[in-house]
Amino acid sequence: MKKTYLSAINEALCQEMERDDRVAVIGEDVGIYGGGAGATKGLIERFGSRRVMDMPISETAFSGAAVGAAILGMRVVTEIMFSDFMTLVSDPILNHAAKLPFMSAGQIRIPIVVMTPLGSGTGAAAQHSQSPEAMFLNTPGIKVAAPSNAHDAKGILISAIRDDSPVIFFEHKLLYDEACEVPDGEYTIPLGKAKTVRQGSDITIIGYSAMTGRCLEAADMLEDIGISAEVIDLVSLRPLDTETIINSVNKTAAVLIVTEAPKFGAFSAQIASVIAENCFNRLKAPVSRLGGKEIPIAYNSYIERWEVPDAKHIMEKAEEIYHEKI
Amino acid sequence: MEPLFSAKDGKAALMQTMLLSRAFEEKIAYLNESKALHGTNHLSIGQEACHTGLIAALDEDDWIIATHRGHGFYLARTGDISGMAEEMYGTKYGMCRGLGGSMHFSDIKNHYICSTGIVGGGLPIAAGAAINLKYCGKPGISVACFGDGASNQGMTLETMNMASMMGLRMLFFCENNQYAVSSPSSEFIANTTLVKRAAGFGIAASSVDGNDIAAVVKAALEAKDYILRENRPYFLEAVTYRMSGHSRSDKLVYRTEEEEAVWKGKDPIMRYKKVLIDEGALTEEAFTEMKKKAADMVEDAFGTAESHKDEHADITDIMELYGG
Repeated sequence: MKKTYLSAINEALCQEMERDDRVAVIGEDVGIYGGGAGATKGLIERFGSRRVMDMPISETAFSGAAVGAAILGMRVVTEIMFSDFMTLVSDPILNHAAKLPFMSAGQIRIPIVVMTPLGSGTGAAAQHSQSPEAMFLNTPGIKVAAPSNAHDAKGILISAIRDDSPVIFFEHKLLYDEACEVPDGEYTIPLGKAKTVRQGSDITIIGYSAMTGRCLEAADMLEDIGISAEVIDLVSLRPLDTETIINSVNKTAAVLIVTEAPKFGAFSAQIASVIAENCFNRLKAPVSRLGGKEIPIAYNSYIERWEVPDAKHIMEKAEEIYHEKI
Repeated sequence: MEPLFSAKDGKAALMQTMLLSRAFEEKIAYLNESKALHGTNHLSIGQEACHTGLIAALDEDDWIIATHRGHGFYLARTGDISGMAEEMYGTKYGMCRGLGGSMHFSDIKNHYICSTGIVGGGLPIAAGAAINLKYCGKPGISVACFGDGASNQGMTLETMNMASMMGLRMLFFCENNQYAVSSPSSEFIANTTLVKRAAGFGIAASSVDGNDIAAVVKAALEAKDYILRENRPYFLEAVTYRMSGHSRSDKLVYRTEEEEAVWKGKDPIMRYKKVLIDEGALTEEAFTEMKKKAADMVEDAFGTAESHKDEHADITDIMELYGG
């Protein structure tokens, strides 16, 4: 049955809460309101306010509370309404959740999931549209997922809830209404495993979150001009499935990595480094990246769209790389 | 390891614990001078009545998060002098296998969640522990220890609001030791009457002489009774003085010798000694004996730890703590 990305997330939460009574949800407006975008709709009616806890606008305090409750044995999903607000949870998540398991030499486990939507395209402007994932990828101890479709969103959220490490689950606002086939029952998609979502032989295009769909669109356009593009959807950013990336680039000998986040310091640079370190002798063109512009996201819809790579940009850049191949 | 320590163990236990804490910190100060330890650390000399008095009032069910100045809390809670000495040396026999160090002691089995090096960082986590107690129907309370410095952190105020709003069984234990590094609380806290801040959040609060251990124990027991009876948080300020510097690099240029002398006269150990001698519960000889016992235990622990100083945790093991 086809389900939207948002309803797949909701279904994952519901099924995990049903399955394991240690699972609780903590966040702003997660109760009767159903969460910022609707991800927690119906949960309070079903599981009560004991397990679905509405919080004051105190992201630092309640994300820290999620950490504390998890240390004592709950499995807590906390929703941060926009990923721009992740700056406010950086102390509990980066200084405590990421480090306590290590500092305590394994005495402490922190099974929390921080669910938060990133991305532009909704006219929410600079403080509600950023793609801040790179800020959270240079701290060991945290896993990060950014699924691109409803099927993966459900499966990887279930994995994240069952995982004993803190996981940041980046949703994308533009994907909420996109639907695909999603099984009714519970299933997991492993953290740390990428998907080759389209086979090809001339160039590898790598994306995640909303960029995956645009990479696939670009691949269709490339096919029309006789270029065969392989598309990898990373699904998880940390752990990173380097094997899938390396195998693909060794096969195609050319690569384009796409992020919505500004190119400077984007996660694509990490992937480029993996490729440079592992595929240097196979490459027939320079490792190439596309990213957002080096400015905050604008309110104006034309400028907002212009700032972020679309299928046409990706297609043109891939074509350019293809013609550079030696 | 010593059993958990409690007020029920009586006055001698309180005195012995304060003396152990003092001996431990003085040993660290000595090792700092001789540059025998690798990193920095934060001593709580002069604050023994706070950590000892608080821990004495707690039961096994209760949970605690302490601060970067946490040696005394940990010692009083766990009695694990050996694990502490090893951790100070960074050896694999430390309670955190040398990975945490002075600011990051942790002993989950004794409900000592952690010390945290982030000023104020423990409060939200302690609130989470209290949420767990409440929602899982477990007994006990959750205690967040913090200082006057942390009272100015946004997350402290956020947590006070949250704990009050949710009716969490949580004790906010504020050790007001007068200084945040070099900044005096008298200047850097807009309204120095911290209990009024608590009142602003609808949290019952009181302030106690933090250098009077009997008063701290009594106040902490009353606070705990209140929390359990009312299912509400409580804010207890213990007014004390950080007799040592902030950390090993502190040259104490920001305060006067006169001020230090005044507080030296209020030394919690000497005060309690006088109380106990006056009431006939202690003799000079017995006190000297207790002091010697404390020094011997500390020397033993550090002697062994020093002999292990090159034994670090296995690299393969510690990488397995993460797995991605």
